[in-house]
Amino acid sequence: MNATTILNGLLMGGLYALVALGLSLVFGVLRLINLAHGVLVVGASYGALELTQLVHLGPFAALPVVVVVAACFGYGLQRLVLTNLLLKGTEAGIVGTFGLAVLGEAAFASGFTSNGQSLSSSLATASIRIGGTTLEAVLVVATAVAVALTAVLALGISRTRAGSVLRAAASDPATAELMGIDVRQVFAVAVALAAALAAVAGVLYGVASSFTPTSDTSLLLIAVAVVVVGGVGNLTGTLVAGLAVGLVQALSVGLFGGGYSDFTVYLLFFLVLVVRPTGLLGRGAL
Amino acid sequence: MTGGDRLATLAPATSEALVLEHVTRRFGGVVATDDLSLAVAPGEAVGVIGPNGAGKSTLLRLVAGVLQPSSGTICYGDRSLRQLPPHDVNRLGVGLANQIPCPFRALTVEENLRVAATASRAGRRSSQKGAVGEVLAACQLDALARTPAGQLGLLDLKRLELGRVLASGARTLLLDEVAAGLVGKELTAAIELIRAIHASGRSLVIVEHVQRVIEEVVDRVVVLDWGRLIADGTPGEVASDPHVRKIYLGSTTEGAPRPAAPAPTPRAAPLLSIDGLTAGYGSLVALSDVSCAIGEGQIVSVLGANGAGKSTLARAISGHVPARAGRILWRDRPVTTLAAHERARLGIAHSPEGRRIFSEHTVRENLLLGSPRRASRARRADRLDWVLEVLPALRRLAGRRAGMLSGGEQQMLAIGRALMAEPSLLVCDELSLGLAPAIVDSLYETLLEVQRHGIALLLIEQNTHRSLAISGSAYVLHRGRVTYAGSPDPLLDEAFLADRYFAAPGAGAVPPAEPPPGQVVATSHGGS
Amino acid sequence: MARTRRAGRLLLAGSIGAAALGAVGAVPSVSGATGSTITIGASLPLTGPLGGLGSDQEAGYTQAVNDVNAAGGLKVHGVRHLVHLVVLDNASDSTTASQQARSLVLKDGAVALLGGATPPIAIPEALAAEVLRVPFVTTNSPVDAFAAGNKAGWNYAWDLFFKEQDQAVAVSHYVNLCSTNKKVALFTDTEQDGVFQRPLYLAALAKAGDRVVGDYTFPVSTTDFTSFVTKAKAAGAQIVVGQMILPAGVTLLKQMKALGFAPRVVIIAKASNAQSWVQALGSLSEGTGMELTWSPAWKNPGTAHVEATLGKRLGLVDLASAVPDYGAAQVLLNAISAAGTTAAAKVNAAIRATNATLVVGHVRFAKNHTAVLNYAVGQWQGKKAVQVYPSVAGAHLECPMAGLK
Repeated sequence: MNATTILNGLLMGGLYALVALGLSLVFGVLRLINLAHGVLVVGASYGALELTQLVHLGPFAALPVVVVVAACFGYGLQRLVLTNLLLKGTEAGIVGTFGLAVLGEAAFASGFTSNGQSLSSSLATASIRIGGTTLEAVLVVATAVAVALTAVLALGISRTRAGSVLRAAASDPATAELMGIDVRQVFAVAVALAAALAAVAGVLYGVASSFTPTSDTSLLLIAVAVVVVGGVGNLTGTLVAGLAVGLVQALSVGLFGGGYSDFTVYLLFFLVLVVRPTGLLGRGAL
Repeated sequence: MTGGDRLATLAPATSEALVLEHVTRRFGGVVATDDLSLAVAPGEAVGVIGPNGAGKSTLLRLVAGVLQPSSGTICYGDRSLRQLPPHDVNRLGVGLANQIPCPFRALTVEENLRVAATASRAGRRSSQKGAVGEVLAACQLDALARTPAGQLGLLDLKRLELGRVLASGARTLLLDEVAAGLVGKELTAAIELIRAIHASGRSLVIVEHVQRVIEEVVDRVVVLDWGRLIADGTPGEVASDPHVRKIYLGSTTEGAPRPAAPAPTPRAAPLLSIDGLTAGYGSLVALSDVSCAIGEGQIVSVLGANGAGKSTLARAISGHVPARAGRILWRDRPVTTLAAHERARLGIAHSPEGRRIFSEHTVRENLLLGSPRRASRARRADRLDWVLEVLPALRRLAGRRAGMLSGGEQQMLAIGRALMAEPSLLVCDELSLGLAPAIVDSLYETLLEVQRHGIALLLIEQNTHRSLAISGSAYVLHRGRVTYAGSPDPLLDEAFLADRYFAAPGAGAVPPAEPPPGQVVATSHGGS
Repeated sequence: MARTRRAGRLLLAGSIGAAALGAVGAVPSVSGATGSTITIGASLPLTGPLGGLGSDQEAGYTQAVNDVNAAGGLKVHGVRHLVHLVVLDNASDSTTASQQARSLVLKDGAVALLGGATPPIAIPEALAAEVLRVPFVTTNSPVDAFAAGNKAGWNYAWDLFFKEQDQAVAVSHYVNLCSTNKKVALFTDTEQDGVFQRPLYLAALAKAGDRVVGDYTFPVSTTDFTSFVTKAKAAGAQIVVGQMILPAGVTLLKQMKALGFAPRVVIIAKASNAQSWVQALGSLSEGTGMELTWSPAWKNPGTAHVEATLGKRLGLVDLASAVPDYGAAQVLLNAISAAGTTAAAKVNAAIRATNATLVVGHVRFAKNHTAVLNYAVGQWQGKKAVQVYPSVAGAHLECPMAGLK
């Protein structure tokens, strides 16, 4: 095992963290495991693919468009669907988002066939050499974006008035209403933000790797593991856990061969649940 | 055969005494019961009363084995209940009936009772069938034996809850507010059942806010306050105990002095007027045809025993409980269907029961959350300065996490947060609950200061004397209806207040007096 | 396969789109056939992860049926009958495939069945056919995997496709066409066929004189091959052989490029044998090897016909995938014709007796009910597939591969 392996594993963890960030936000604010999060990520990959093919934009030129569309979709989803479901309890929300995930997979399969797709960009195959190590450029970018977005979000949530309102609405919606806070609006904005984060993740994931209509399942699984390991509502924890998962995966492959990488990740997930049920960094601000 | 006779055949009358000695239970730093000693003789019925948070429910749960005492002993007959889990306590013959029954909703009434019988007395199958039948008959549930529990009305649910405890073979029953929510004939029926259970030779320990249950069932009343036993005697003795009256009605002597400036009288158009409001939760009607009004800058007290509907009124005003009938006018504009956040933006601030501060936020953040959404940074800072002047104690706490504050500080924060919204009306729900007298005094000083700035106050209080002392008018609620509306002065007479407070039209005690002429700002249309 | 874990969701997805899919499935290949027709059924993975293979299958089966109908149909009991092909979409789900095979026979009155692609779909269908005693012919399942699908041995089910060992040997020959240091990095996933194929590759490569310097296995959902690639690069491997699904293969190639690992020869079986490999990878795919389960270069009888019909709609890659299906349908239709009846036992006997050179090659079933077809290796050159092993006239090998340079 060498430095390149470990560092690239860590960077792959940055991509995992990016994928998990939106899930973590919704989990923290709404206490809802959004089972459609993977579909939002893959949807953004397909959206960017469509744009690159239709108007010949590069995937990163398509990114702003995809992010805006995703945010609008997330906003509408919360206002029109999830709010009503969540009034019936979290179970209804989980069932509803599961339905959405299934629907999304079917829609991708019929719209884009079930063949694997990938976003082509020179970034995907570029590399950065530091010392004796070779780092995949796209993963470096993904990790940098994950760190930057986590920092902006964590600071925004802890320091700004909007963040204060978000935390208040998350911790005690009824009392927040007494403060004149339109809690439904706050929740919708949070879901819109999460969808936008999913879109950023989706484009980077599509460039770094490849996707099929059913890629959302494995993305969702890893994101849930990352969120739980990091601590519910703890965005910094999500980042740390993402990096940890990537690192553990790389170490496991280096030590035991590739056959155990999934096993090792979920073993980590299980052990953290048993030893520290609140996650590595504990319950967060949300 | 009467219910009592039936039950007497079910199991022998109890011969065991329940004895608690020096029982203390702490939750973290809070002492729920403090060195409590109490003996319940075989066949005795003991009522336990006291204000909210006095430790009454904790007492029952300690006996039932749901909680374990931090120190002290609990014995049933010659057996110590120490470290016994609830099902073992139950098998010894001590059963707990809950305020909110949770039967297996999909099972029938009879199946529910059979489950209770089986769970507690495995092995004696032959006797179970008969026992379940006896319980069904005694609780007047025989006609509903095959009805799923989920379809029962409130009274039958309560009957089933008592039946469940009986079927489990309990000879000493712990009743935790089992009459809560019942009114009129239903309450009478529940009381009859409890009397029948007592008549069958069983011991009862009854925690109850419904006065009739205490009056009509028990031989002896104990009063708890702050986890301590402060009075023990017949219902009559306890009712005349000055210490008890003080706890229930607040003190006259220690209260804040009546403000020198008399409270302003309401103007022609009230700030808030409520007309024929009915509201509730599920099948429970908590407010029924309530009308009241608050003028600009006025202080109004709403008094009443637990469960009278005071908090529901506050929540209906702020928009958290929808009105089923009637309307709410804010400055002559109907707001009955507005969402809570929209009402808050109009100037209705609410300091909710239990304070509900955002414990993970700092004090400063809590305060700023209260400020209007569109306020400029400068206006926000000005308002924060003003609130910190009104509540100077918060200034040095501004950077602290709100969850670390003491109860009194949290209450100040809740008031300050509500004031940040630049409201015209501040609704304070149970401001002084669980706070030491000195702290309550300073809170009331603050309220007067708030009023001097032209903000109207609606005070919902158990601490009646303090709130009456600063109020311009007062309402008394009893079981969701207004039983008094008018000047606070007559209520300062303890006997009169006790009548309004504990008795209700229909309960047979005293009919409601006409409010003093000229002071009427509201009437209860359906009260008598 | 990767699919079992998602079977439940696919089933749900399938039922959500049931109305639409039902409509697709119910479309008969010929219309207007009055009087008695012979019904043949096929439950195919038209959607889901195997959707690409499934649509090639539908094209191949339909073409074969259309050809027979155009010639006046099949002669049964002395009378010509048109053939009616009923296709249902099993959404790449094994359970659905098995149920559909049953309902095609019991409800639609199919006298024989054609199979869906890959063993996880075909074997459940074949087992259903065995129970119902209906002749069943399939392809797109490697023969050893299919033969192992029924421990008791098949009676009514038949499979024609390449043999796994032939594939490993062909790949080992392909990688040695180009001059290298003969150091191989082998990537196989831990799915059924990856596990089955890995020892075959190891044996074939050893026999060809290559040295496997890296033998990497991983779960099918793996997205990080960095450590393997780093190791393979450090070990100086100039040949990469892999067997994995397309998304994994695409990711592997991207990471090889990013980490500056440029082997001279790359073939990622399974992932690289469809047009989407080129779509996903672009210029990165230039010079990578690919599987061909049929080639016009074999010049089998009927080649011109399938090129003129099927080939008009499909590119070479999809044609290579569809011709074995055309061949499987041909085997069944010829057998019914030879039997002169639709009686299951007689048709089954006629299939057993098949001994003919068709467009897919020479078909003769072994005792284990499988017929082995040829296997060729192609190379992606300028986004087109070119057969390079066995070598054909006019085609030349691109060595070293250009995509990763």
